[in-house]
Amino acid sequence: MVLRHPRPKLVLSLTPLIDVVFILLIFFMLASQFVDWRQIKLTPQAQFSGAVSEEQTLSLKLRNDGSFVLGDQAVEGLQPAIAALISHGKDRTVFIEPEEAVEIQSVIDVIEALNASGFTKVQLSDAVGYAAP
Amino acid sequence: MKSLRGRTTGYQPDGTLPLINIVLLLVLAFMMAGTFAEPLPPEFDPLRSEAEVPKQEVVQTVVLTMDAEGVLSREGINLTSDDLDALLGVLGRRDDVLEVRADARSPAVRVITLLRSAEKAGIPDVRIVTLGRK
Repeated sequence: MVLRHPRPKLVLSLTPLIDVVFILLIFFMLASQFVDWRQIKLTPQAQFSGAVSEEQTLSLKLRNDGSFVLGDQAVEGLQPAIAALISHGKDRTVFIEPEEAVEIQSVIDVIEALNASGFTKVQLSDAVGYAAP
Repeated sequence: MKSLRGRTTGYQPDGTLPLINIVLLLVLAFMMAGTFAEPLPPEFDPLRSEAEVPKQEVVQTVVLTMDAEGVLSREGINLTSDDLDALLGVLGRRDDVLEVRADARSPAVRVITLLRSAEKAGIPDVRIVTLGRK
């Protein structure tokens, strides 16, 4: 004859598991971001153009008041400036030279407008060695 | 007096299991879809561009953030010019990627000066990080 003892009931507490999972959830919620960042890859001058003669370049100064100076000629507004640049030829290298108080967003806007107009060689200032592709 | 309620027998499923399942799924969603947020200066207004190249996660990347005043910081700590020179020197020797995350209102000449310094230090890969246009 076999005597069977009743098996003790195993109680598994889920409360610690829930605690840990909630802490993980809060951590990832606070530490994550879903911002869709984009990037503009810049090309060092040495890889970009090599030596550029002065005849092949155009200087576009961005002034603090929002106006432009193309070479030594003042131009009001971006579109007239781009039209004047196009008249010189789209194969020229455009040097963008912002004044002291010009915001970087304005420079990016000008570079993109130039790229959209067909200028592929745009450099930031004549002394800076990076150029937007 | 005996209780009229019937005694429960056998396995009773725990009512919290569906909750745990949902929370675990949320954790997985955040782990898969999110990236760790870089600390940004207060009231940071990111640059915006038409760039269509999504930001690539590169292991050896150093992110420099420039606020609206042109002050550079890395991981929330402001950099002095000496710190910056030392950092760029190290990056140039290691061929790391430099990401510049500038505030839209930051002075362009400060950004250009940073790019010039990066080129002098021999950093081959420099990227400006922006958001898409609104």
